[in-house]
Amino acid sequence: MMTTEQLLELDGLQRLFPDFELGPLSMAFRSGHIYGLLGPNGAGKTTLLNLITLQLKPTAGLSLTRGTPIRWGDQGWKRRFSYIGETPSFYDDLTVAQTLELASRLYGQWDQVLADRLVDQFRLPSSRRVGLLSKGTRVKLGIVAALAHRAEMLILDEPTAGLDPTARADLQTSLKTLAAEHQTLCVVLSSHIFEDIEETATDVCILRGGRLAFQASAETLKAAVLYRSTASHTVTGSRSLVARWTHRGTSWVLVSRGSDLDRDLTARTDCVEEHHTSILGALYHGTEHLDVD
Amino acid sequence: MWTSQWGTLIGKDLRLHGSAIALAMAGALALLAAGTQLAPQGIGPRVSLVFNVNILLTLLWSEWLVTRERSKRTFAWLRTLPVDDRVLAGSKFVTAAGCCVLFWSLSTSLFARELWQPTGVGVTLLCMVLSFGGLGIAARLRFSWRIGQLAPLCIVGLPVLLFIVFAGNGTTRRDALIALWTAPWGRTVVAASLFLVYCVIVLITVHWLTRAETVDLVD
Repeated sequence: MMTTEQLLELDGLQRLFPDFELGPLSMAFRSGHIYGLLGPNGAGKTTLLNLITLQLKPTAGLSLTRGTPIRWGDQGWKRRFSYIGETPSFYDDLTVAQTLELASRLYGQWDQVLADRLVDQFRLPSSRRVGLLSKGTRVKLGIVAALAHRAEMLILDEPTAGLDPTARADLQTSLKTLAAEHQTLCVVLSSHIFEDIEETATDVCILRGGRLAFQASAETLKAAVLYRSTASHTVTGSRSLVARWTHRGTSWVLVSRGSDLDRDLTARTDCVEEHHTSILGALYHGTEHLDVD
Repeated sequence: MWTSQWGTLIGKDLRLHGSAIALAMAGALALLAAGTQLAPQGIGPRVSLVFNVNILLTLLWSEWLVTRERSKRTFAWLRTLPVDDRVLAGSKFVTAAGCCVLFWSLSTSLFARELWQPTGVGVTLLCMVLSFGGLGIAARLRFSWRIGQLAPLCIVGLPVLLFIVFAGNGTTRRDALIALWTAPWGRTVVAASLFLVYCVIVLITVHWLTRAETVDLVD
C-alpha cells in the first residue's frame, strides 16, 4: 500500500429518493488503499456505489477523477473501474472463457497473460457455464475481468453476502493477496459484516442513514483505545480524540493509545477501558450519535 | 473501438440466441408450409398468413433479445463496462431488424413470391413488420416485461381499431385510402412513412437509453 494518488473524489455527492436521502457526501479514494464501506442494511452503501459507477445519477454534487469531473456515461471513467455487484450478473449461458473473451472485447485494453494466470490462481473452470458457478466463483470471475483490463479501482458490493464461512475466508484471502500484488489498485468493499472489513480494509468508512458517520484509517483504529462511561462527562476536542458518541445511554470515546487524553481517561473512575470489545464493532453499532473531531 | 463494440454486442446476441432463433425460424417455416397446404387457396390468405407469422416472430425476437437481459440483470453488467449506450440500444435494433428481414425474405420467397414483384406491396409490408419489431424492442427496453409485452399490441391496436371504425367496408374514407394506395406514388409514400416511423422509434429509444439509469433497465 505505497501509492497514495487520489483517484476519485466525491464533492457533495447527493441522491434524493422519495423515502431516502444519501449525502451530501464528500470523501476521497486513493490508489493503493482498500476502503471498507460499512453500514447496516439501508445505510446507502449500494446507492453510493451505484453513483460512483454511473448506474445512478446524482441529484447534486459531482465526482471527480484526478480533478476532472466525471460525466454521465463517461467511458473514460468506466475503463478505470470494475464493479462487481452483490449478485454478479454475467450471462448464465456463456462459459467462463467466453465471458472473459466478451469482457476483453468490450474493455478494449486487456492483459490476456494476467487473465490466464488469475484463472489458474483462482481455479476457475474455463469451460463451465457461468450459470452453474457459485456466487463466490462469480465474484472471482469479476475480479479476473477487473484486473485483466487493468482497472485502477475495484468496487465490490457485499461480495461475501450469502457465502459460507470457508468461501468467505477464501475470498478475503484472495482480495488481500491481490491487493498486495497490485499495489496501485484502489479497492472499495462494502459490507454490513464488520469482520469482513476488519480483516481486509486499510481505511474504514461507516455509513448510517445515508450519511458518512465515520472515516479513519485502519492504522488509526489499531492505535486507539476505547473507553465507555455511564456518567455524563465531557471530553474536549483534541488531536488524540478519534471519535466520541453515545449509544443507548452510554458514552463512548475512542482516543489514541498512549496520549494525554488516554492517560486522563484511564485515571477517571467513571471510564472503563474496553479491551475486549472490537473497536470497529462498537463504532458500527454506535455511530448514530457519532461526533468526530 | 466503437465499430468493434457493435460487432461484439451483435455477436454476443447471436451466440446466446442464434440457435434458438434458427430453430424458431425453421419451425415457423414448417408451420407456414403446413398452413399453406391446409388454408384456403389464393394469394390473399397466403400473404396474410405469412405476414401474421412474421409479426408474431418479431415479438419473439424482442423477448429474447431484451426481456432476458432485463430479467437476468445483464444490462446492469454491460452498463458498468465502457460500452456506448447508443451502441447498446442500437445493437438490439440491428439484430432484431436482421432477424425480421431474414425471416421475411425466407418466408416470402418460399410461400408468397408474389410480394417480390415490383408493386411495392412486399416492401411496404416489410416496413410494417420492421416498425412493429422496432416497437417491440423499444417497449421492452423501456418498460418492465409485463407492460413491455402488451405495449406494442396496444399501440398498434389503437390505430387498427380506428381504421376499422372510421374506414370500414363501404365508407367513403376507405375508398379514399384505396385511391391513395393505388396511386403511382402511394405505396412508396406508405413504405417511406413506415420506415420513418421505424427510424423515429429507434432514435427516441436510443436517446432515452443514454439518459436512463440502470435501475430502469432491469426488472
